[in-house]
Amino acid sequence: MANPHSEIGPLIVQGDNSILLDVHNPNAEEARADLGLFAELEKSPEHMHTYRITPLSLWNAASAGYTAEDITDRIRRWSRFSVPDNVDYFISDTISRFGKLVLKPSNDPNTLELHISDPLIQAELQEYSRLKKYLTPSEHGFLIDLVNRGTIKSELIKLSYPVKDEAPLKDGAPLEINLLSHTRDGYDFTVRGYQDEAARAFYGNGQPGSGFGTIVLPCGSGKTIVGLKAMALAATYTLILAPNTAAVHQWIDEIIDKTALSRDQIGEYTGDKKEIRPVTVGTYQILTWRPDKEGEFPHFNIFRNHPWGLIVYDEVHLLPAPVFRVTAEIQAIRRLGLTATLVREDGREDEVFSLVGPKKYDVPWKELESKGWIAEAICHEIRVALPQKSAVPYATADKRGKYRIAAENPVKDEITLQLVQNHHEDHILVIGQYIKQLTKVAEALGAPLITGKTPNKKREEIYEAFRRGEERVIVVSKVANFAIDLPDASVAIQISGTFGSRQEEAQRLGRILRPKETNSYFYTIVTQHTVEEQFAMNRQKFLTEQGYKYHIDFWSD
Amino acid sequence: MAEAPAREHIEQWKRCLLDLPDELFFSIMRTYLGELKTPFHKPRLADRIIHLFSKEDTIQRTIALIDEHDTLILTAIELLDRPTPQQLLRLLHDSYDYFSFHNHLMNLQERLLIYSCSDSPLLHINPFLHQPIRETVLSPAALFPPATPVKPKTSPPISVTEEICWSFIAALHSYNDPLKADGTLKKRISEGLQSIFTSLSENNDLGIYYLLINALLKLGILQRHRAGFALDYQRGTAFGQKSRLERLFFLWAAACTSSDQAVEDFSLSSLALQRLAHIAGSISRFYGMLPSGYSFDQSSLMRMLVAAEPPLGDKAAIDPIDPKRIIYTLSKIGVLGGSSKMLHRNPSAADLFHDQEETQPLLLHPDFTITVKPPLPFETGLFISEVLELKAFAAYPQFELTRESYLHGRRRFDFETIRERITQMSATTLPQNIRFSLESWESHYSSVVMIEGITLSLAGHWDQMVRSHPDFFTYILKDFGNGIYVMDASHRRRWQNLLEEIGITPLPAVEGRNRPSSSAASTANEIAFPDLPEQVPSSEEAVKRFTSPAPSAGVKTADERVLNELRSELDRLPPNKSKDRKELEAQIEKKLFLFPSQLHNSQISPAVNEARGMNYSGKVRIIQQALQSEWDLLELVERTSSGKPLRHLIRPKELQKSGNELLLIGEKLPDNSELQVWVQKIGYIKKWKSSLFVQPKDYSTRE
Repeated sequence: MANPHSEIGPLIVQGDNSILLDVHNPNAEEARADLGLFAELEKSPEHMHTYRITPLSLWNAASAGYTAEDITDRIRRWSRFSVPDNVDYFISDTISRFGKLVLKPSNDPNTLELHISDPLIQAELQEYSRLKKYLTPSEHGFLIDLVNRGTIKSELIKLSYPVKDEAPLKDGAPLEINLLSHTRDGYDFTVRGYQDEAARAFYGNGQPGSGFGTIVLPCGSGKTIVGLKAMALAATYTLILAPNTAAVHQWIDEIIDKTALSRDQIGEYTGDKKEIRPVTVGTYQILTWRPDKEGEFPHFNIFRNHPWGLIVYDEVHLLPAPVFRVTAEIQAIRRLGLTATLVREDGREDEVFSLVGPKKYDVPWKELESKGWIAEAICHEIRVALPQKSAVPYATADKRGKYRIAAENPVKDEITLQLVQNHHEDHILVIGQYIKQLTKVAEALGAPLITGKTPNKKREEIYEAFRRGEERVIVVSKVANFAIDLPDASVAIQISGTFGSRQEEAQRLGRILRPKETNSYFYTIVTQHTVEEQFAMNRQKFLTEQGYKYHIDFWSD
Repeated sequence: MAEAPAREHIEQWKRCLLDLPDELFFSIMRTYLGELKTPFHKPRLADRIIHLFSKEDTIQRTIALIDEHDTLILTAIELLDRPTPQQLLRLLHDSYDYFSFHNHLMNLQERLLIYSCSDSPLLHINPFLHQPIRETVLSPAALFPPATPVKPKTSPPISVTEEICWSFIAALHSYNDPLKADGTLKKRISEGLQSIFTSLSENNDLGIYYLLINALLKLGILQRHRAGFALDYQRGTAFGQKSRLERLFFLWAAACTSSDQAVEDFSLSSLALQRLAHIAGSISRFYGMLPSGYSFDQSSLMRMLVAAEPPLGDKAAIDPIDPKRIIYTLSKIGVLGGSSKMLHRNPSAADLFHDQEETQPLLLHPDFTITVKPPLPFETGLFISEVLELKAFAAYPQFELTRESYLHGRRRFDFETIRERITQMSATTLPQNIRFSLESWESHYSSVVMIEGITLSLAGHWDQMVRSHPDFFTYILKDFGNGIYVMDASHRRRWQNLLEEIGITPLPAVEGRNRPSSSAASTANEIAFPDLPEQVPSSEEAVKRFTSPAPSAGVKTADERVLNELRSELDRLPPNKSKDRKELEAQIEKKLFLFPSQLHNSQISPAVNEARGMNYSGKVRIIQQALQSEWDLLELVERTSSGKPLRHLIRPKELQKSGNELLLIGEKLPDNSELQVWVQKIGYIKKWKSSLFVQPKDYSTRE
């Protein structure tokens, strides 16, 4: 039945909890703003975007103070048709679970009290053997030991009972962190509006119930700056965790460049260095190192033995499972997650919600693109024939061999050279999978090559030369996937590499999305009539569903 | 005073009276006119009866004796406008079992309230009583308990629509051999369907899938093909020629005749389609009559449905509708909403009746996903189902154009058609990457051709790879050059595997040497979809009829004063009549007398109509009498080996001697199935008249 008030509403609510947004509808932007509160953007191709309502997206909304009625009212306001009953029910049932369990301080400083408003839930929880050991019945529900604060939240969300954490956070050691108005190089520096909003959404009013959460912003939108702003608001000792050493160095450089902190106030905690300073930046990798498979994680003590008042998890969707465990122990510390996507390949989004914190802020990349905060990317796929001499080896090779022959098609080298020539004013990243192929291309281009074996120091030097413009092209293997920062790259040429995962592709593309005056270009070179086409199709679908323009052409001499 | 009935109606009644067998005719005459004097002149006697019923006093007394059962049946006769007894029974089946219904009908005939003619079983109301009955007796509330106004809070989607059908066909394309041997869906398939049609199968109930598949089979749009299905595109296109509304009623009708337990074996025939059209017509008229905003109990709805059933006329092979099954199915597929007790018209259905179809229903995205905006022409839906892969079904179904779906569609349409139609149907321009991909897929499709025999033709780039493969040569019988080979048919599977290993996947289907002519229509396509009977528009009168409250005085009951007058007269009868007292008393209670004087003049037949227990010869005599009369029925109670007595009403056919025993063979009513029972197993037997006016041979479902 059509909604009489919204005959041309921009939303089509589907029975499977997905919501289509007709982006050409005059009310699309208002509807999008509402949708962002309680639904996750799944796909954003050109005409119709797909959002999905999930328990976590609803609990994120509930945590931000929205009721089921607020949400259904918003859906109805914009819906083109009547909302399926099951969607209504799903929303009200899911939201009703949030707030039924509230964690509050108790009279004993070593325990917290889990307030449960529904006696049936209390009875139900008492029956779970996994929970029994943590729960002591009390006047309002259960008492739990302080150290089990995270564990209990993590266990309860698995039972679809999100916990509203209103227990106070502890203040870390104070540290004044001021943001500069000019970078060290003398450029103007201001925190952009959305970055400021994001940091404030995270920090809240500084009272119990705020100070933990996740910020979702697209690659290239300056999540690091959101982190710096959050640090300035919290004004406390801060531990920052990032996926790898290059990212650690980038953080350190940014902190030095844009805050009044001095270098000696900033520590690096990586495989190379073990510095603990008021602001310490470390890798997930070093934290999860242990001498043997069964042993303890010795570096976890970094969490426990220092007066941190804020922990920042960069690329929180990559946070390794053991770090969740230690994060569960430190629930009294402010926690900020930064990511471009809440989707985890291991499906542990609920752990991020429970242990790091619910989503506090996000903004669609298209909005940032339209305001010029990130570059517009144009994707080109270039199809190239397999040379005659490779036809026989290809036909007789096994599946893996076929892929390699297609990937290392020598014609790709010529095309790469041609593309680099065509983009003679751009900073170019050539990305590939096979070292032999990359070495050949790097030699032909006279460009430096970064592989997994390149020492960190050497990498840093190359990156620095690239940033300074001394190198215009660098050739990188899979290491390019994560958190290296190449501010001026405007062209990426992918010559080989399977479609790894959505995250991997997003990261790869993120390398060229920094704001620039000109568009960014992402080239993929694919051998036609081979298995490479299938991988290319996955990539094509991923990129187009994110809304990027995608062209395919044959390469002809 | 009532207006005089039309002359033609009086003549018709008279003719029907005169057509009665003599025994019955004179029995009635004696009841109403007393002792008859010879010579008998039947037309004159009929005129006397007509004269009697033209009198106001007779009319008033007849009307006075009408009770609530009479009211119900008379109202039903009026509503159905001269129904057959069978139609009447279907309308009233939840008020009476067959046996008591038959008794009531007989009684009304004996009281001359209703009649039918020897050449037609249609039931008419006595012309002299028709108007007074209309004015003082008929009560729609007796048939349709007052409807309850309802404002549905929710209007769930309807699960049999043409959008669901062509989406479902698209989903079925993804599965090879989806059925188990017993006709149920394989678990993997049903799970796959559930993930796509999330709103269709509540609580894992797969019933709706079976209804959909069976409905499409019954319409001939799908055909069984091994353990799966094949789309009959031409037939689907022919179906698409019907109006959107007609298609919808056909689909609902097909679902209403379908099993919701498994896929049925079904072969299409013209008769089956005629039957579907009859049901579709009934549903269409029923839907037109059903007022929105009111909820009804199931029996009311079933009665409305029977009332809406179009006359079958001379369609001798078409069974009447099964209202219970239709209401059950309409409720299951969401056409009727509400609880199991009270149902209402689902407001969602109104959305399906819009005729305006989208001319550009596709929203084509560069990521190959396609949002489809219904409503659209049915044939367009079929095209979509052939060329696109269904990802999720909802208000706007989500499809995807994939290499596999293109290659599937390519078996039916050529490249230009696919590209042009997608472009024309798209509200947006065809993105460059999709245009490129279509061309690339077409290049794949057309670069490998296999023809039964078996000739293999490969385009240049494939030929290059295949020709160089060391194992491939083993299977080549002749190499014509330019990529054309005659292959070893006995090792077809092996060299086809080799082609797939090389990268030619999926392989195209092997074509026959003679391509099937597109004009060669299947037998199924020759069976045209019949037209539906005209729909009864929803009128104010219909709404009033089904929603008006019950009269405050309630449904009419028999006037006890008239009965008491007759009873008192019975007490005053002279002693010579006292032996008949019991029978006269029974006849008063059956309201066969109108005036006290009739009691004096009546002649009680000494005939014995029943026998029980050890009275074997009595039972045989009754059977023989019934066999002779040709229109008598037998009620009997059979003693079974389990000790549980079984009661039957039969039309006796034959009494056979077998050894020392007698075997009664007859047709059981109302389903006319054969019954054989040893006379010694009969515990009780009673002879009944089948009808005063209708001969047993005419007591059928036909009009």
